[in-house]
Amino acid sequence: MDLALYNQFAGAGAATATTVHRAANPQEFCRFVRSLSPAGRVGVAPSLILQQPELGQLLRGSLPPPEPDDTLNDPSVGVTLAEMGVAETGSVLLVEGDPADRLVSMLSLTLVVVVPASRLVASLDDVATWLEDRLAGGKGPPTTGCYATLVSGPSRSADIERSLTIGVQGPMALHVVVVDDVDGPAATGHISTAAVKP
Amino acid sequence: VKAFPARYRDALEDPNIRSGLLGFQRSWREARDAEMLHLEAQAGVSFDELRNRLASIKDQIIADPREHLDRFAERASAAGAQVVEVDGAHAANDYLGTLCQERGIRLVTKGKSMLTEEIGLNTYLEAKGVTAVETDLGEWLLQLAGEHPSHLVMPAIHKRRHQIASLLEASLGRPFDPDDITTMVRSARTELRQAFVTARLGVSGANALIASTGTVLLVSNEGNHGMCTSLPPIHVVLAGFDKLLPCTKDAIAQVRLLARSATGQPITTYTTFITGPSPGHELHVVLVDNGRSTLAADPELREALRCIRCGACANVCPPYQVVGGHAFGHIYSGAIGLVVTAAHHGLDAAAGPQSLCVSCGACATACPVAIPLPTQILAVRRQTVSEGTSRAKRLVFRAYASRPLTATVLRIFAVGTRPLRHGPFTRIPQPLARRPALSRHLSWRTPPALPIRPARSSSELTARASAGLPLAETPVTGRRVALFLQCMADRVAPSIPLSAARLLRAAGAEVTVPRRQHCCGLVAFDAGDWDGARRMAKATIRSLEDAATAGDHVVTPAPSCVVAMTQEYPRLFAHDPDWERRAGRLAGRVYDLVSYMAGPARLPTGVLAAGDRRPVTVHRFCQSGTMLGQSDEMADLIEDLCGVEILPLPEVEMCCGFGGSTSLLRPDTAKGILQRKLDCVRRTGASLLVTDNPGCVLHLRGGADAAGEPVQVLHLAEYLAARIPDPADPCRQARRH
Repeated sequence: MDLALYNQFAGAGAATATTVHRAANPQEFCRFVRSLSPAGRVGVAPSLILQQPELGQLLRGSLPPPEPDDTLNDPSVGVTLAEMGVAETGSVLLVEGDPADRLVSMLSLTLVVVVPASRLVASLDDVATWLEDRLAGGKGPPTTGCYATLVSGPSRSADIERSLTIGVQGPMALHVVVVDDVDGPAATGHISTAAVKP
Repeated sequence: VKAFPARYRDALEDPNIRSGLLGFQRSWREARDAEMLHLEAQAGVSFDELRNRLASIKDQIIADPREHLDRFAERASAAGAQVVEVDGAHAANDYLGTLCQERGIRLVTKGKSMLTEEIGLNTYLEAKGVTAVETDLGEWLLQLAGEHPSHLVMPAIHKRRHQIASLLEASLGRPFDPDDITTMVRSARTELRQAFVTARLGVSGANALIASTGTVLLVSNEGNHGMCTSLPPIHVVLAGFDKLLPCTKDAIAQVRLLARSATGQPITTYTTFITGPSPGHELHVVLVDNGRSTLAADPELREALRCIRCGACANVCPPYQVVGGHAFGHIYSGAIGLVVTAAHHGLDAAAGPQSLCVSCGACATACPVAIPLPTQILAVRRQTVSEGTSRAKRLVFRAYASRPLTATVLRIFAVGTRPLRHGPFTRIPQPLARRPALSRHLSWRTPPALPIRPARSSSELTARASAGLPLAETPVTGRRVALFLQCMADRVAPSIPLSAARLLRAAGAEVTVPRRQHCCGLVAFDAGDWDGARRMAKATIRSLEDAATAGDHVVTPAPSCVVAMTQEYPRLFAHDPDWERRAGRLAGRVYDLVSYMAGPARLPTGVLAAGDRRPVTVHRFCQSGTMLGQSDEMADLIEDLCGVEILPLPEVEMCCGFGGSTSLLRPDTAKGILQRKLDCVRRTGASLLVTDNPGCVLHLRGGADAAGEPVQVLHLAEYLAARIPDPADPCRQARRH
């Protein structure tokens, strides 16, 4: 993993009240999710299971099974997969064509986002390039819609006297876990929380 | 929306607005400046460069919206969206009304959208039996209160926590602790959930429409727009073509400036790119014109369509802090509201708030798309004036344009108020001063003493003999300098121009006073009376051409006149090549006193060291910064020439509230701004305040006196000239030899 990029990502994330972690492998990641000791429902985004079947299997094995949609009762923990992590702002890009993915990322009280280490990019311009390549024609019209969100921290509001309040309509806590590539060398034995830069 | 006089009265009667917005503006400034510095470092280019780039991208759209509209519609349709264009507010509302009717929809959820406020969507739907629930916390609170947003980004910023606690208690039937903001904020989560899962249609605006991909960009911090656009099976976007951007890279450029300008964040929490509907869902994009094409066709106002609705122009606006966005604006608030209201809601809606602008120019310095807001506000003001709303005002300017008439009237006042003179002030006896009509103007600002003789009649300016000796050789030694007195200083504060003359002579200049000079025309210009302004401008140009030969410098102790001559005259004479040329020649040789003393007429270090050693705080006339590009020249000059300590004034860039005619027409607003300035002065601990414009001097001096502030207010000319050593003083003789 590019450590300089990771450090920039973690520092910028901290500024938006995101907690950024590193995990050496999927097992470690699953242990981390379990350590959040969810009291209630755990939601896993369907696209994570589709795109990272190995990780999906592991999560399923270590957590209670996902329940059918219950949009009046928020999942206590939601897990989803990022298309990329952006070092410039500490944001994660969630590409959620399936509205069921969005229920997980929008309604969970605590949201955990997996970013494969190889998907860290330097700037928001990389996001622009990715979206343009995918949507700007030349390669034919997209067959389905694209719903992509840069998430930069937990839901917040400052609408009352500009007093910053974390957790309004969406998650009250956001954990982003950068997972070293499954095939790559295990960098550390333990999950580590990035030092928060001032 | 209530009529302006009622909104203005309500605003003045609510102390929560003033106190809440003061804290808001101060904390915003700090957060925004820090983030903008960070962006400059990261991008390696200045804020000005970044905003000019985004402005030129948006200008491409404004110049030819059709091409980009078609591209957007083509891409969005290819992704499965339905794109329609509608002309006016009614057609836009009707599209939604019909859709709801056809699908049997009775409840819709809404993300924050100024355009739906502009077209009055909620009221329209209500009449059709459809309930629209606002889901942005601030908008939701205002919906409970039956109000509309007072700020583009922070809709409920005019309300304090205790008001919101009572509002929630009244609406939800349980008590709320005003100091537990978290609980109040989280109540929205519970209250809105049912609406989110029941509504079958979600409405949003758009922060940008990306033409190359057919994408709708939405930003929010709460995440409510995500639910509005995901939970119901139908999502309807309402946006103007002004939201178009050519490609995603341009949208990123906007994202970088938007959150920093809006809330001082590097990026909003949720930045969503929606291209086409999700499987099984529908996406409708309704492109609403409602006056935008008219704006695009107006060469004076078209740049207003660059606006990305960040609210920065309100966040730096001094009168906005005093009255809030319900009075300072119509539906759109802040400086941009003063510009676009006429296009969307008509000239009548625009006229009232216009009178609150102090023309300080702060909005233009903060705008992330470099909209020339001050110029545009004056252009709209001219339209509202030419619509005949203000005949009386024009008569007053016509009278003021006459030098002899002004002189006579002021002399009558001077003689009449002579018994009331106390030092620099006129003290109106109590029973009279307490009458409401007078006390509105006089209770917070003691009027100046009116001199019987104006500066121009002083023997000091007429007689060569009393010229005084130069203090040192400077680049202007032996140079003829025409002194432009400034009409008000000449007749109300003559010591300012007299001191300026002394200083110029100390620098070796030969001072002349053109006899026929009067008002530069700024007062009429600011009031929107361009015909009156043109007459005064021509008289001024003639008077300075008569008196001085081509090479002479013109110097004035009033930077406001320099702003008029260098920046407003070219616009006044844009269609009159002869006068434009003559104005251009004058602009090339006119200086404000600070620039002149700091530049060509610079005296040696320490030459004015003798005298008052009190530390000084310095207020810079707002337009000296925003229009003439000055920063610390005055403080540096005082430090260098006098060697006295300067106590930095917090919020030095803020207007003092004089604002030309604003302080006469809207005394309550001017008073509020003055109080903020005096509070900053008090925080410095200085007992001496030096400033550079006669208007500021009289306003601050009278205000400090009325408030009982122990601070002496002097014009820079008065402060420096008083330190010129007396030629008869033996100490000075000794130094010269």
